[in-house]
Amino acid sequence: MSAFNNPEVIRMLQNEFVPVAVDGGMTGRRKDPEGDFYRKFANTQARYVAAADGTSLAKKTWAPSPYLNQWMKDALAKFALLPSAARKPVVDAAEVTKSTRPVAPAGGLVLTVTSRFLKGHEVASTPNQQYALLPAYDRVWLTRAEWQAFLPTGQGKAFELDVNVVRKLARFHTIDIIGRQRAPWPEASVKGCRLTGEVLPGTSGMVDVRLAGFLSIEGASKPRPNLGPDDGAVKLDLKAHGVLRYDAARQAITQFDLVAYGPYSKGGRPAEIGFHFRLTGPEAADCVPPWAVDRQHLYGDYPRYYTK
Amino acid sequence: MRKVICAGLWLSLCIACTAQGTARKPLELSPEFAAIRDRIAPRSEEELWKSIPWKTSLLEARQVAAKQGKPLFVWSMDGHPLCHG
Repeated sequence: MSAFNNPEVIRMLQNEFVPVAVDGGMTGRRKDPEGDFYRKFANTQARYVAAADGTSLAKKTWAPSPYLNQWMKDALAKFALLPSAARKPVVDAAEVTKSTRPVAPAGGLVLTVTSRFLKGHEVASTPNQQYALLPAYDRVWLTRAEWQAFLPTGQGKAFELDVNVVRKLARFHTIDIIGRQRAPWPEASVKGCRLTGEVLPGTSGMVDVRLAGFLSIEGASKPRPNLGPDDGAVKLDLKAHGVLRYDAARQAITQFDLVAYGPYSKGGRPAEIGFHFRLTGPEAADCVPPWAVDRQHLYGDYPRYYTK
Repeated sequence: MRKVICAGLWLSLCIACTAQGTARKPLELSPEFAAIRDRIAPRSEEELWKSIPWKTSLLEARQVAAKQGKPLFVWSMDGHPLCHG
């Protein structure tokens, strides 16, 4: 994001453009109006300026922000020369409903997971080490049946969370996506995972739970050929601790905070990595589907994401 | 009349206190994990990009661009750009 820290770039994007961020690898493959529109002006990962009718105005694969300003101004000048029909075309309002982008399950729970290297960021898979210092974001989509597995079922104070849902968090959401997206850990590399819940004293109508456990990964880093970069052998030993609050009247989890961190070894190089799972917010980044869901949606042989 | 006003004020005060009492404080992580959460959290200088009103649907962005007569700025990556800080 550092290219977008330049105040003038931010000002232009706020006022003179409609900024949109997309996974080009996914959008370009979609056989729907969104894919059709994307392919009118885009064919690879880059920055593009285009008119709403699909007219391509500029493309840049990479630009440091001082030059991005001028590039954007040049594109605005080209846009101003277009006929009105290209600048303000009549667009079918219903086409948005024809998008095949995956949506979060009805009645489900959406979490945002933020990750960051706590030590040894040099192991990040990025040619630019400044990106290795930044956090990365992904979403967790849980069906209603999955998130209900986080709640106690009996009268006891201690309970075990559904191991399949915990395994989903471990396999799909403790991956190192800092600097580069990648596939989930192979099934066989999830060596162990467990979360237990302790019901805390509370007032009626609320269920407060303290979570504790571990998530352990060891083995190959990619599930099968062509599913992302290969980091060689990985080892990840995370201890986890968290809290959640369930509001019985609203039938909703109203607080969820789970932190997992620990040593991470990638191709024999040591690091330490941390993950924070929280209820998703209103920001644009919180609206993006989990990467694994998008991939599963387009690739039939991609590992199954939902457990129930 | 004064008694009625005083009773009304007292009732309002009681309701306000009760409402405040039932507003639950967020649950706290243990100090060790709260510190880790804070280290993971984006710092303010890492979040300047959030002041840009990014859209994540190309079709919705197209509708807005057509209506407002503005060009689209499309940031496309292999993997979603908003997943990387």
